[in-house]
Amino acid sequence: MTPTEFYAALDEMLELDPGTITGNERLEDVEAWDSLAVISFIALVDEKFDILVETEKLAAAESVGDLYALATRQKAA
Amino acid sequence: MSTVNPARVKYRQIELAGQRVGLLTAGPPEAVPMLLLHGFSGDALTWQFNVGALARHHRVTAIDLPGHGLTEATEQIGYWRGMVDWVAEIVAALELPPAHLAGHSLGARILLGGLEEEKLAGLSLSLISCAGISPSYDYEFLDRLSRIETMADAVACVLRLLGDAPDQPERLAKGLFQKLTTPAAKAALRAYLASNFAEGRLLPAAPVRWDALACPLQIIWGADDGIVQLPPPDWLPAGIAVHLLDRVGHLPHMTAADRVNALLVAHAGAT
Repeated sequence: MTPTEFYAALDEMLELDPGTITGNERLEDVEAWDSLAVISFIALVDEKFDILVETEKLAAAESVGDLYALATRQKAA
Repeated sequence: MSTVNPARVKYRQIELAGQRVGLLTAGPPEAVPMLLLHGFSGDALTWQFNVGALARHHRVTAIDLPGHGLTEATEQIGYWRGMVDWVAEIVAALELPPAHLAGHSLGARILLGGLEEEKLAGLSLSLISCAGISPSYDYEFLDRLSRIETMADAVACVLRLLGDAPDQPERLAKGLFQKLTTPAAKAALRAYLASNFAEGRLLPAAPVRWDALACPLQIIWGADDGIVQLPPPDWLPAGIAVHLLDRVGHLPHMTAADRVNALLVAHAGAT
């Protein structure tokens, strides 16, 4: 999955307008990033990459870029 | 193989047994059910780091207790045994078959009480930092939790809950602040404390009827839990699995979620 596709999936997951997430956002600035979004993100990564996100690393994620790296690094591993 | 469909993760308020109840569900409808109950001042979203892993194996249902999350306060928000009756009523209204049960803190005590009184049927029981079964607990902290006024108060409570210096207490503190500073939330928490404690001491209750449990039991606890300490061995039934997690505070299912998820899945799978 390319970064663009990943960000589009996040837009859909967070019920944002397409193109809202660009990859440069800090999670604290994404108003829709809340506990329910965490649950949905874990489910999204599981569905798209068939892996379970390491939750301690997810809790430490600070940016959308961190989320992409988390999903793809684990897949690469 | 993933069986988790993000679209099937739902957290919403529904009408059940004449009440508005917050409910989070995930996982294949045909999978073996698992019921999760949160603790004092929490809600179903406390299981945010657990639902995904558990839903790979189970149909997960997490209920908001009265006066918490999306569940309206009821007259039953008071003595914890009243909440046992409430949970049993909601489980019956959901037509949930016997499930693997996992609870945190107050939620754990309610599930344990439900099995003691045979008002709930469980395939297994996992007690995470269970309230009400230990002689050592911090009532003053519970009182502070019910009186949060500022973000600084919320951050202080988060640091106490986590038991170790977290990377980002502010995110959890923000959620705590938003949820616990509404008049309704404060009234619910104060009602619970007034009904279960007198002068800072837990009201006396009959000893836990461990022998009434008809399903496998495991206990999960943080070694650095400063809110409720692990009961001494003579307070617990002999021969059960007790998992004490190093460098973990009162929220093992959040701060050590991967380990707790593995324990929950293994315990359910062993039955």
